[in-house]
Amino acid sequence: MKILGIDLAANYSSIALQEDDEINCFTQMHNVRERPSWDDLFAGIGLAVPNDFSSLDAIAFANGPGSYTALRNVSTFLKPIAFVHKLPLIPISSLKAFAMASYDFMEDPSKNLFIAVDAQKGSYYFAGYTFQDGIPTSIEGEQVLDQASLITKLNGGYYAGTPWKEFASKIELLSHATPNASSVCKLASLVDFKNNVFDPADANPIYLEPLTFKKINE
Amino acid sequence: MLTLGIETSCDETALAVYDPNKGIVAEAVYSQIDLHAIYGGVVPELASRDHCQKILPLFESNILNTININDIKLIAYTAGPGLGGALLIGESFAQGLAAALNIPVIGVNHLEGHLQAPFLGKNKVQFPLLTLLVSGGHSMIIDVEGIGKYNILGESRDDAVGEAFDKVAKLLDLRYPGGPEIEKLAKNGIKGTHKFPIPLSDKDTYDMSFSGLKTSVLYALQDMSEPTDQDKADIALAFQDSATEALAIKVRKAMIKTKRKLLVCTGGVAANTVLRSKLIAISKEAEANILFPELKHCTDNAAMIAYTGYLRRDLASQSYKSLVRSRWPLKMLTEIHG
Repeated sequence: MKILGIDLAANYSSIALQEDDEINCFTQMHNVRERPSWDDLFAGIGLAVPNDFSSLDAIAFANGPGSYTALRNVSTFLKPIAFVHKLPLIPISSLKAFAMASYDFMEDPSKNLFIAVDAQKGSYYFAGYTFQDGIPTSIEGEQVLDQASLITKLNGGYYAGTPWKEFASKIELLSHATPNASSVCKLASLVDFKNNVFDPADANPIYLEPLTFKKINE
Repeated sequence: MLTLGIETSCDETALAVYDPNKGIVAEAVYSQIDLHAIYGGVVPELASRDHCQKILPLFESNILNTININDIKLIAYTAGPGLGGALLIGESFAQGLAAALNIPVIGVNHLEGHLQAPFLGKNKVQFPLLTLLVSGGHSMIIDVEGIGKYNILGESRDDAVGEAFDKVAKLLDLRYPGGPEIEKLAKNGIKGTHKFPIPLSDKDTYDMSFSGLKTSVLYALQDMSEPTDQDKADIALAFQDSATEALAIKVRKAMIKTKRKLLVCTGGVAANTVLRSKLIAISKEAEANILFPELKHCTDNAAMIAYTGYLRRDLASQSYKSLVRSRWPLKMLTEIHG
Protein backbone atom coordinates (compact mmCIF):
# COMPACT_ATOMS: atom_id res chain seq x y z
CA MET A 1 0.00 0.00 0.00
CA LYS A 2 1.41 3.38 -1.03
CA ILE A 3 0.21 6.58 0.64
CA LEU A 4 1.38 10.17 0.11
CA GLY A 5 0.97 12.26 3.28
CA ILE A 6 1.35 16.01 3.70
CA ASP A 7 1.22 18.24 6.77
CA LEU A 8 1.57 22.02 6.36
CA ALA A 9 -0.65 23.04 9.28
CA ALA A 10 1.78 25.45 10.97
CA ASN A 11 5.39 26.65 10.73
CA TYR A 12 6.65 23.63 8.81
CA SER A 13 6.11 21.77 5.55
CA SER A 14 6.27 18.01 5.83
CA ILE A 15 5.76 15.38 3.16
CA ALA A 16 6.00 11.61 3.47
CA LEU A 17 5.63 8.59 1.23
CA GLN A 18 4.64 5.36 2.93
CA GLU A 19 5.12 2.14 1.03
CA ASP A 20 3.91 -0.75 3.16
CA ASP A 21 5.94 -0.41 6.40
CA GLU A 22 8.58 1.93 5.03
CA ILE A 23 8.18 5.70 5.28
CA ASN A 24 10.31 8.31 3.56
CA CYS A 25 9.68 11.70 5.18
CA PHE A 26 11.01 15.21 4.46
CA THR A 27 10.28 18.17 6.73
CA GLN A 28 11.21 21.86 6.40
CA MET A 29 10.71 24.39 9.20
CA HIS A 30 9.80 27.93 8.14
CA ASN A 31 7.88 31.04 9.07
CA VAL A 32 4.15 30.40 9.49
CA ARG A 33 3.39 32.96 6.75
CA GLU A 34 5.75 31.39 4.23
CA ARG A 35 4.18 29.33 1.44
CA PRO A 36 5.39 25.83 0.66
CA SER A 37 7.45 25.19 -2.44
CA TRP A 38 5.93 22.06 -3.91
CA ASP A 39 9.06 21.63 -6.04
CA ASP A 40 11.22 21.36 -2.89
CA LEU A 41 8.75 19.09 -1.11
CA PHE A 42 8.44 16.59 -3.97
CA ALA A 43 12.20 16.63 -4.48
CA GLY A 44 12.67 16.03 -0.74
CA ILE A 45 11.17 12.54 -1.01
CA GLY A 46 12.28 11.91 -4.57
CA LEU A 47 8.73 11.95 -5.93
CA ALA A 48 8.60 12.23 -9.72
CA VAL A 49 5.70 14.44 -10.79
CA PRO A 50 3.29 13.27 -12.13
CA ASN A 51 4.39 9.70 -12.89
CA ASP A 52 4.45 8.60 -9.27
CA PHE A 53 0.90 9.80 -8.59
CA SER A 54 -0.58 6.95 -10.58
CA SER A 55 1.18 4.38 -8.39
CA LEU A 56 -0.42 5.74 -5.20
CA ASP A 57 -3.31 4.10 -3.36
CA ALA A 58 -4.32 7.23 -1.44
CA ILE A 59 -3.33 10.78 -0.56
CA ALA A 60 -3.76 12.09 2.99
CA PHE A 61 -3.22 15.53 4.48
CA ALA A 62 -3.48 17.27 7.84
CA ASN A 63 -6.65 19.32 7.48
CA GLY A 64 -6.41 21.27 10.73
CA PRO A 65 -6.81 22.89 13.00
CA GLY A 66 -3.92 25.10 11.96
CA SER A 67 -3.00 28.04 9.73
CA TYR A 68 -6.10 28.64 7.60
CA THR A 69 -4.10 29.74 4.57
CA ALA A 70 -1.72 26.78 4.72
CA LEU A 71 -4.59 24.31 5.18
CA ARG A 72 -6.46 25.73 2.20
CA ASN A 73 -3.32 25.67 0.04
CA VAL A 74 -2.64 22.00 0.65
CA SER A 75 -6.30 21.02 0.31
CA THR A 76 -6.72 22.95 -2.96
CA PHE A 77 -3.42 21.66 -4.38
CA LEU A 78 -4.22 18.02 -3.64
CA LYS A 79 -7.86 18.02 -4.75
CA PRO A 80 -7.15 18.05 -8.51
CA ILE A 81 -4.33 15.50 -8.14
CA ALA A 82 -6.64 13.10 -6.32
CA PHE A 83 -9.46 13.86 -8.76
CA VAL A 84 -7.40 13.27 -11.93
CA HIS A 85 -5.78 10.09 -10.63
CA LYS A 86 -9.03 8.83 -9.03
CA LEU A 87 -7.46 8.56 -5.58
CA PRO A 88 -9.12 8.90 -2.19
CA LEU A 89 -8.14 12.18 -0.49
CA ILE A 90 -8.17 11.55 3.25
CA PRO A 91 -8.30 14.45 5.73
CA ILE A 92 -6.49 13.71 9.00
CA SER A 93 -6.70 15.84 12.15
CA SER A 94 -3.45 17.78 12.51
CA LEU A 95 -3.61 17.53 16.32
CA LYS A 96 -4.16 13.78 16.18
CA ALA A 97 -1.25 13.47 13.74
CA PHE A 98 0.90 15.50 16.16
CA ALA A 99 -0.16 13.14 18.97
CA MET A 100 0.82 10.16 16.85
CA ALA A 101 4.21 11.75 16.16
CA SER A 102 4.70 12.34 19.90
CA TYR A 103 3.98 8.73 20.89
CA ASP A 104 7.54 7.58 20.21
CA PHE A 105 8.80 10.00 22.89
CA MET A 106 6.43 8.72 25.63
CA GLU A 107 8.24 6.45 28.12
CA ASP A 108 4.94 5.39 29.72
CA PRO A 109 2.36 4.78 26.97
CA SER A 110 -0.46 4.39 29.52
CA LYS A 111 -0.39 8.11 30.33
CA ASN A 112 -2.53 10.68 28.56
CA LEU A 113 -1.07 13.20 26.11
CA PHE A 114 -2.16 16.81 25.72
CA ILE A 115 -1.38 18.68 22.52
CA ALA A 116 -1.38 22.48 22.14
CA VAL A 117 -0.53 24.51 19.06
CA ASP A 118 -0.30 28.30 18.80
CA ALA A 119 -3.40 29.67 17.04
CA GLN A 120 -2.13 33.31 17.12
CA LYS A 121 -3.59 36.29 19.00
CA GLY A 122 -3.38 34.59 22.42
CA SER A 123 -5.35 31.51 21.35
CA TYR A 124 -4.29 27.86 21.27
CA TYR A 125 -5.59 24.75 19.55
CA PHE A 126 -5.87 22.03 22.17
CA ALA A 127 -6.82 18.34 22.33
CA GLY A 128 -6.17 15.41 24.69
CA TYR A 129 -5.48 11.79 23.76
CA THR A 130 -4.99 8.37 25.28
CA PHE A 131 -3.24 5.56 23.41
CA GLN A 132 -4.35 2.02 22.64
CA ASP A 133 -1.78 -0.12 20.82
CA GLY A 134 0.05 3.06 19.84
CA ILE A 135 -3.01 4.67 18.25
CA PRO A 136 -4.31 7.97 19.70
CA THR A 137 -7.94 8.11 20.86
CA SER A 138 -9.54 11.41 21.80
CA ILE A 139 -10.28 12.10 25.47
CA GLU A 140 -10.68 15.87 25.09
CA GLY A 141 -12.00 17.10 21.75
CA GLU A 142 -10.29 19.67 19.57
CA GLN A 143 -10.97 23.16 20.87
CA VAL A 144 -9.64 26.72 20.96
CA LEU A 145 -8.47 27.92 24.38
CA ASP A 146 -7.08 31.17 25.73
CA GLN A 147 -4.03 30.99 27.98
CA ALA A 148 -6.04 31.01 31.23
CA SER A 149 -8.00 27.96 30.04
CA LEU A 150 -4.83 26.28 28.82
CA ILE A 151 -3.35 26.49 32.33
CA THR A 152 -6.31 24.51 33.72
CA LYS A 153 -5.14 21.56 31.60
CA LEU A 154 -1.88 21.16 33.55
CA ASN A 155 -3.13 18.12 35.47
CA GLY A 156 -0.59 15.44 34.68
CA GLY A 157 0.28 13.28 31.71
CA TYR A 158 2.52 14.19 28.82
CA TYR A 159 2.45 17.49 26.93
CA ALA A 160 3.57 18.30 23.40
CA GLY A 161 3.60 21.60 21.53
CA THR A 162 5.37 24.95 21.91
CA PRO A 163 2.64 26.64 24.04
CA TRP A 164 3.55 24.33 26.96
CA LYS A 165 7.21 25.43 26.98
CA GLU A 166 6.76 28.11 29.62
CA PHE A 167 5.37 25.46 32.00
CA ALA A 168 8.21 23.02 31.30
CA SER A 169 9.39 22.94 34.92
CA LYS A 170 5.96 21.77 36.13
CA ILE A 171 5.05 19.19 33.47
CA GLU A 172 6.40 16.26 31.48
CA LEU A 173 7.03 18.09 28.24
CA LEU A 174 7.93 16.08 25.14
CA SER A 175 10.16 18.86 23.88
CA HIS A 176 11.57 16.86 20.95
CA ALA A 177 8.18 15.91 19.55
CA THR A 178 7.27 17.81 16.37
CA PRO A 179 4.52 17.29 13.83
CA ASN A 180 5.45 15.51 10.61
CA ALA A 181 3.76 13.87 7.68
CA SER A 182 4.86 10.33 8.67
CA SER A 183 2.11 10.26 11.27
CA VAL A 184 -0.39 11.52 8.67
CA CYS A 185 0.50 8.48 6.53
CA LYS A 186 0.30 6.14 9.54
CA LEU A 187 -3.17 7.39 10.52
CA ALA A 188 -4.37 7.24 6.92
CA SER A 189 -3.19 3.63 6.64
CA LEU A 190 -5.65 2.77 9.43
CA VAL A 191 -8.56 4.22 7.45
CA ASP A 192 -10.66 1.82 5.36
CA PHE A 193 -10.46 3.91 2.22
CA LYS A 194 -11.05 0.95 -0.07
CA ASN A 195 -14.60 0.49 1.19
CA ASN A 196 -15.46 4.11 1.96
CA VAL A 197 -15.66 7.13 -0.31
CA PHE A 198 -13.19 9.96 0.26
CA ASP A 199 -14.31 12.39 -2.44
CA PRO A 200 -11.59 15.01 -3.09
CA ALA A 201 -14.27 17.71 -3.31
CA ASP A 202 -15.17 17.07 0.34
CA ALA A 203 -11.61 17.22 1.66
CA ASN A 204 -11.75 20.68 3.17
CA PRO A 205 -9.93 22.33 6.08
CA ILE A 206 -11.32 22.41 9.62
CA TYR A 207 -11.97 25.90 10.98
CA LEU A 208 -12.37 25.76 14.76
CA GLU A 209 -12.69 29.44 15.58
CA PRO A 210 -16.09 31.07 15.15
CA LEU A 211 -16.27 33.90 12.65
CA THR A 212 -16.65 37.26 14.33
CA PHE A 213 -17.28 39.56 11.40
CA LYS A 214 -19.94 42.16 12.10
CA LYS A 215 -23.01 41.94 9.93
CA ILE A 216 -24.49 45.22 8.74
CA ASN A 217 -27.69 46.49 10.37
CA GLU A 218 -26.98 44.51 13.56
CA MET B 1 -4.26 23.44 -27.63
CA LEU B 2 -6.75 24.31 -24.90
CA THR B 3 -5.88 26.76 -22.12
CA LEU B 4 -7.77 26.56 -18.84
CA GLY B 5 -8.15 29.94 -17.13
CA ILE B 6 -8.73 30.27 -13.39
CA GLU B 7 -9.82 33.50 -11.69
CA THR B 8 -10.19 33.76 -7.89
CA SER B 9 -8.83 37.24 -7.14
CA CYS B 10 -11.91 38.45 -5.26
CA ASP B 11 -15.43 37.08 -4.79
CA GLU B 12 -15.98 35.07 -7.95
CA THR B 13 -14.74 31.55 -8.60
CA ALA B 14 -14.41 31.53 -12.37
CA LEU B 15 -13.13 28.98 -14.88
CA ALA B 16 -12.94 29.14 -18.67
CA VAL B 17 -11.29 27.32 -21.54
CA TYR B 18 -9.76 29.12 -24.52
CA ASP B 19 -9.23 27.45 -27.88
CA PRO B 20 -7.09 29.54 -30.29
CA ASN B 21 -9.21 28.31 -33.21
CA LYS B 22 -12.66 28.70 -31.67
CA GLY B 23 -12.31 31.25 -28.86
CA ILE B 24 -13.89 30.55 -25.48
CA VAL B 25 -15.33 27.02 -25.55
CA ALA B 26 -16.33 26.59 -21.90
CA GLU B 27 -17.03 29.08 -19.15
CA ALA B 28 -18.38 28.93 -15.59
CA VAL B 29 -18.68 31.42 -12.75
CA TYR B 30 -19.75 30.90 -9.18
CA SER B 31 -20.52 34.28 -7.60
CA GLN B 32 -20.19 34.80 -3.84
CA ILE B 33 -22.35 37.93 -3.83
CA ASP B 34 -25.00 36.43 -1.55
CA LEU B 35 -22.34 35.21 0.87
CA HIS B 36 -20.89 38.70 1.34
CA ALA B 37 -24.09 40.77 1.00
CA ILE B 38 -24.91 40.64 4.71
CA TYR B 39 -21.53 42.15 5.53
CA GLY B 40 -21.86 45.02 3.03
CA GLY B 41 -18.63 44.07 1.25
CA VAL B 42 -16.24 41.24 0.52
CA VAL B 43 -14.89 39.44 3.63
CA PRO B 44 -11.51 38.04 2.46
CA GLU B 45 -11.49 35.03 4.81
CA LEU B 46 -14.97 33.96 3.69
CA ALA B 47 -13.99 34.45 0.05
CA SER B 48 -10.98 32.13 0.44
CA ARG B 49 -13.03 29.46 2.19
CA ASP B 50 -15.68 29.50 -0.48
CA HIS B 51 -13.19 29.38 -3.37
CA CYS B 52 -11.57 26.35 -1.70
CA GLN B 53 -14.91 24.53 -1.46
CA LYS B 54 -16.37 25.43 -4.84
CA ILE B 55 -13.49 25.24 -7.32
CA LEU B 56 -13.28 21.48 -7.88
CA PRO B 57 -17.08 20.90 -8.16
CA LEU B 58 -17.29 23.87 -10.57
CA PHE B 59 -14.51 22.39 -12.71
CA GLU B 60 -16.03 18.93 -12.69
CA SER B 61 -19.64 19.93 -13.38
CA ASN B 62 -19.33 23.01 -15.57
CA ILE B 63 -16.08 22.58 -17.52
CA LEU B 64 -15.58 18.86 -17.91
CA ASN B 65 -19.12 18.52 -19.24
CA THR B 66 -17.86 20.37 -22.33
CA ILE B 67 -14.23 19.45 -22.80
CA ASN B 68 -11.97 16.45 -22.28
CA ILE B 69 -9.57 17.02 -19.39
CA ASN B 70 -6.65 15.59 -21.39
CA ASP B 71 -7.10 18.25 -24.09
CA ILE B 72 -6.02 20.94 -21.61
CA LYS B 73 -2.40 21.73 -22.44
CA LEU B 74 -1.85 24.92 -20.43
CA ILE B 75 -3.28 26.36 -17.22
CA ALA B 76 -3.40 30.12 -16.61
CA TYR B 77 -4.44 31.58 -13.28
CA THR B 78 -4.72 35.04 -11.79
CA ALA B 79 -1.57 35.58 -9.72
CA GLY B 80 -2.39 39.18 -8.78
CA PRO B 81 -3.38 41.82 -7.96
CA GLY B 82 -6.18 40.81 -5.62
CA LEU B 83 -6.94 39.32 -2.21
CA GLY B 84 -3.87 37.29 -1.21
CA GLY B 85 -5.70 34.33 0.32
CA ALA B 86 -8.17 34.13 -2.55
CA LEU B 87 -5.40 34.28 -5.16
CA LEU B 88 -3.59 31.42 -3.44
CA ILE B 89 -6.61 29.16 -3.95
CA GLY B 90 -6.54 29.70 -7.71
CA GLU B 91 -2.79 29.16 -7.77
CA SER B 92 -2.94 25.99 -5.65
CA PHE B 93 -5.67 24.50 -7.82
CA ALA B 94 -3.82 25.47 -11.02
CA GLN B 95 -0.53 24.00 -9.83
CA GLY B 96 -2.16 20.83 -8.47
CA LEU B 97 -4.02 20.26 -11.74
CA ALA B 98 -0.91 21.05 -13.78
CA ALA B 99 1.12 18.57 -11.71
CA ALA B 100 -1.58 15.92 -12.14
CA LEU B 101 -1.77 16.42 -15.92
CA ASN B 102 1.97 17.05 -16.45
CA ILE B 103 1.39 20.37 -18.22
CA PRO B 104 2.79 23.89 -17.73
CA VAL B 105 1.17 26.64 -15.70
CA ILE B 106 1.37 30.44 -15.89
CA GLY B 107 0.44 33.23 -13.47
CA VAL B 108 -1.47 36.06 -15.19
CA ASN B 109 -1.87 39.70 -14.18
CA HIS B 110 -5.57 40.35 -13.53
CA LEU B 111 -5.43 43.91 -14.88
CA GLU B 112 -3.81 42.73 -18.10
CA GLY B 113 -6.64 40.22 -18.37
CA HIS B 114 -9.16 43.08 -18.28
CA LEU B 115 -7.15 44.95 -20.92
CA GLN B 116 -7.18 41.93 -23.25
CA ALA B 117 -10.89 41.13 -22.68
CA PRO B 118 -12.09 43.22 -25.68
CA PHE B 119 -10.28 40.79 -27.99
CA LEU B 120 -12.52 37.93 -26.83
CA GLY B 121 -15.60 39.32 -28.53
CA LYS B 122 -16.88 39.00 -32.07
CA ASN B 123 -15.80 42.53 -33.03
CA LYS B 124 -12.48 42.93 -34.74
CA VAL B 125 -10.29 44.90 -32.35
CA GLN B 126 -6.85 46.31 -33.08
CA PHE B 127 -4.26 48.21 -31.07
CA PRO B 128 -3.88 51.02 -30.14
CA LEU B 129 -6.87 51.83 -27.96
CA LEU B 130 -7.77 53.75 -24.83
CA THR B 131 -9.26 51.76 -21.97
CA LEU B 132 -11.26 52.95 -19.00
CA LEU B 133 -11.10 50.17 -16.38
CA VAL B 134 -13.66 50.78 -13.65
CA SER B 135 -14.46 48.21 -10.98
CA GLY B 136 -14.60 47.65 -7.23
CA GLY B 137 -10.82 47.44 -7.12
CA HIS B 138 -9.62 49.74 -9.89
CA SER B 139 -10.28 53.05 -11.66
CA MET B 140 -7.73 53.51 -14.39
CA ILE B 141 -7.36 55.18 -17.76
CA ILE B 142 -4.82 53.25 -19.80
CA ASP B 143 -3.40 53.86 -23.23
CA VAL B 144 -2.97 50.36 -24.67
CA GLU B 145 -0.49 50.17 -27.53
CA GLY B 146 0.04 46.40 -27.57
CA ILE B 147 0.38 43.32 -25.38
CA GLY B 148 2.39 44.45 -22.37
CA LYS B 149 2.63 48.00 -23.68
CA TYR B 150 0.41 49.84 -21.24
CA ASN B 151 0.70 53.52 -20.38
CA ILE B 152 -1.35 54.36 -17.30
CA LEU B 153 -2.50 57.93 -17.84
CA GLY B 154 -4.52 58.22 -14.65
CA GLU B 155 -5.92 56.24 -11.73
CA SER B 156 -7.80 56.81 -8.53
CA ARG B 157 -5.74 58.29 -5.74
CA ASP B 158 -7.95 56.67 -3.08
CA ASP B 159 -11.12 54.55 -3.42
CA ALA B 160 -11.90 52.80 -6.69
CA VAL B 161 -15.15 54.07 -8.21
CA GLY B 162 -16.87 50.71 -7.67
CA GLU B 163 -15.74 50.76 -4.07
CA ALA B 164 -17.27 54.25 -3.70
CA PHE B 165 -20.57 52.92 -5.12
CA ASP B 166 -20.47 50.07 -2.57
CA LYS B 167 -19.72 52.39 0.34
CA VAL B 168 -22.40 54.91 -0.62
CA ALA B 169 -24.87 52.03 -1.05
CA LYS B 170 -24.07 50.97 2.51
CA LEU B 171 -24.73 54.54 3.74
CA LEU B 172 -28.09 54.40 1.94
CA ASP B 173 -28.96 50.99 3.46
CA LEU B 174 -28.72 49.30 0.06
CA ARG B 175 -27.44 45.81 -0.72
CA TYR B 176 -23.96 44.84 -1.89
CA PRO B 177 -22.87 45.22 -4.66
CA GLY B 178 -23.85 48.88 -4.62
CA GLY B 179 -23.58 49.83 -8.31
CA PRO B 180 -26.82 48.29 -9.62
CA GLU B 181 -28.69 49.27 -6.43
CA ILE B 182 -27.69 52.92 -6.66
CA GLU B 183 -28.51 53.09 -10.36
CA LYS B 184 -31.95 51.63 -9.66
CA LEU B 185 -32.67 54.01 -6.78
CA ALA B 186 -31.33 57.03 -8.71
CA LYS B 187 -34.09 56.57 -11.30
CA ASN B 188 -36.54 57.88 -8.68
CA GLY B 189 -34.35 60.86 -7.77
CA ILE B 190 -35.13 64.48 -8.58
CA LYS B 191 -32.32 66.19 -10.46
CA GLY B 192 -30.79 69.23 -8.77
CA THR B 193 -31.99 68.44 -5.24
CA HIS B 194 -28.39 67.77 -4.23
CA LYS B 195 -25.15 68.71 -5.90
CA PHE B 196 -21.94 66.98 -4.94
CA PRO B 197 -18.45 68.06 -6.00
CA ILE B 198 -16.80 66.48 -9.04
CA PRO B 199 -13.43 65.43 -7.64
CA LEU B 200 -10.24 66.74 -9.32
CA SER B 201 -12.31 68.06 -12.23
CA ASP B 202 -10.36 71.31 -12.43
CA LYS B 203 -6.91 69.77 -11.92
CA ASP B 204 -4.41 69.19 -14.71
CA THR B 205 -4.24 65.44 -14.19
CA TYR B 206 -5.89 62.26 -15.42
CA ASP B 207 -6.01 60.98 -11.84
CA MET B 208 -9.33 60.56 -10.05
CA SER B 209 -10.52 60.60 -6.44
CA PHE B 210 -13.75 59.26 -4.98
CA SER B 211 -13.19 59.24 -1.23
CA GLY B 212 -14.22 62.89 -0.75
CA LEU B 213 -17.36 62.35 -2.81
CA LYS B 214 -18.36 59.50 -0.51
CA THR B 215 -17.76 61.79 2.50
CA SER B 216 -20.00 64.45 0.92
CA VAL B 217 -22.78 61.87 0.78
CA LEU B 218 -22.19 61.03 4.44
CA TYR B 219 -22.45 64.72 5.44
CA ALA B 220 -25.63 65.18 3.38
CA LEU B 221 -27.20 62.23 5.18
CA GLN B 222 -26.05 63.51 8.57
CA ASP B 223 -27.80 66.82 7.86
CA MET B 224 -31.11 64.96 7.63
CA SER B 225 -32.60 63.66 10.87
CA GLU B 226 -34.41 60.80 9.18
CA PRO B 227 -33.88 60.60 5.42
CA THR B 228 -36.97 59.51 3.49
CA ASP B 229 -36.90 57.14 0.52
CA GLN B 230 -37.12 60.22 -1.73
CA ASP B 231 -34.16 61.83 0.06
CA LYS B 232 -32.13 58.70 -0.54
CA ALA B 233 -33.12 58.55 -4.21
CA ASP B 234 -32.12 62.21 -4.66
CA ILE B 235 -28.76 61.53 -3.04
CA ALA B 236 -28.20 58.39 -5.14
CA LEU B 237 -28.88 60.40 -8.31
CA ALA B 238 -26.55 63.23 -7.34
CA PHE B 239 -23.79 60.83 -6.33
CA GLN B 240 -24.08 58.84 -9.56
CA ASP B 241 -24.00 62.03 -11.63
CA SER B 242 -20.84 63.30 -9.90
CA ALA B 243 -19.02 59.95 -9.97
CA THR B 244 -19.71 59.28 -13.66
CA GLU B 245 -18.96 62.89 -14.61
CA ALA B 246 -15.61 62.67 -12.80
CA LEU B 247 -14.76 59.67 -15.00
CA ALA B 248 -16.12 61.26 -18.18
CA ILE B 249 -14.08 64.46 -17.73
CA LYS B 250 -10.84 62.49 -17.48
CA VAL B 251 -11.68 60.16 -20.38
CA ARG B 252 -12.53 63.13 -22.65
CA LYS B 253 -9.21 64.75 -21.77
CA ALA B 254 -7.36 61.46 -22.48
CA MET B 255 -9.10 60.96 -25.85
CA ILE B 256 -8.11 64.48 -26.92
CA LYS B 257 -4.52 63.94 -25.81
CA THR B 258 -3.99 60.46 -27.32
CA LYS B 259 -6.22 60.89 -30.39
CA ARG B 260 -7.11 57.19 -30.14
CA LYS B 261 -9.83 55.95 -32.47
CA LEU B 262 -11.11 53.21 -30.16
CA LEU B 263 -12.39 53.70 -26.62
CA VAL B 264 -13.00 50.59 -24.49
CA CYS B 265 -14.80 50.62 -21.17
CA THR B 266 -14.47 47.52 -18.98
CA GLY B 267 -14.86 46.45 -15.34
CA GLY B 268 -18.06 45.99 -13.36
CA VAL B 269 -18.94 49.72 -13.35
CA ALA B 270 -19.07 49.56 -17.16
CA ALA B 271 -22.59 48.19 -16.63
CA ASN B 272 -23.76 51.62 -15.43
CA THR B 273 -25.99 53.07 -18.16
CA VAL B 274 -25.37 56.71 -17.21
CA LEU B 275 -21.62 56.18 -17.59
CA ARG B 276 -22.18 54.39 -20.88
CA SER B 277 -24.19 57.32 -22.29
CA LYS B 278 -21.49 59.79 -21.32
CA LEU B 279 -18.74 57.66 -22.88
CA ILE B 280 -20.73 57.18 -26.09
CA ALA B 281 -21.06 60.97 -26.35
CA ILE B 282 -17.30 61.38 -25.83
CA SER B 283 -16.49 58.83 -28.53
CA LYS B 284 -18.75 60.69 -30.96
CA GLU B 285 -17.03 63.98 -30.17
CA ALA B 286 -13.67 62.30 -30.82
CA GLU B 287 -14.94 60.55 -33.97
CA ALA B 288 -13.83 57.28 -32.42
CA ASN B 289 -15.43 53.88 -32.00
CA ILE B 290 -16.49 52.68 -28.59
CA LEU B 291 -16.58 49.12 -27.31
CA PHE B 292 -18.11 47.69 -24.17
CA PRO B 293 -17.07 44.02 -23.87
CA GLU B 294 -19.90 41.61 -23.07
CA LEU B 295 -20.89 42.20 -19.45
CA LYS B 296 -19.73 38.72 -18.44
CA HIS B 297 -16.28 39.67 -19.73
CA CYS B 298 -16.37 43.15 -18.12
CA THR B 299 -16.64 41.81 -14.59
CA ASP B 300 -14.08 39.42 -13.15
CA ASN B 301 -13.95 36.36 -15.37
CA ALA B 302 -11.66 33.51 -16.31
CA ALA B 303 -12.02 33.88 -20.09
CA MET B 304 -9.74 36.92 -20.04
CA ILE B 305 -7.23 35.00 -17.89
CA ALA B 306 -7.22 31.98 -20.21
CA TYR B 307 -6.75 34.22 -23.25
CA THR B 308 -3.99 36.32 -21.65
CA GLY B 309 -2.25 33.19 -20.40
CA TYR B 310 -2.31 31.82 -23.93
CA LEU B 311 -0.74 35.06 -25.26
CA ARG B 312 2.03 34.76 -22.68
CA ARG B 313 2.41 30.96 -22.99
CA ASP B 314 6.16 31.22 -23.63
CA LEU B 315 6.58 32.17 -19.95
CA ALA B 316 4.73 29.08 -18.66
CA SER B 317 6.63 26.48 -16.65
CA GLN B 318 6.25 23.24 -14.74
CA SER B 319 7.59 24.73 -11.53
CA TYR B 320 5.20 24.89 -8.58
CA LYS B 321 6.59 27.83 -6.63
CA SER B 322 4.18 30.55 -5.53
CA LEU B 323 3.99 33.64 -7.74
CA VAL B 324 1.03 35.25 -5.99
CA ARG B 325 1.30 39.02 -5.53
CA SER B 326 -1.50 41.02 -3.90
CA ARG B 327 0.00 44.08 -5.60
CA TRP B 328 1.29 43.66 -9.14
CA PRO B 329 1.49 46.90 -11.14
CA LEU B 330 1.00 46.75 -14.91
CA LYS B 331 4.31 48.50 -15.45
CA MET B 332 6.13 45.36 -14.28
CA LEU B 333 4.86 43.39 -17.29
CA THR B 334 7.05 42.79 -20.29
CA GLU B 335 6.05 43.67 -23.82
CA ILE B 336 5.26 40.94 -26.33
CA HIS B 337 6.12 41.70 -29.94
CA GLY B 338 4.35 40.31 -32.91
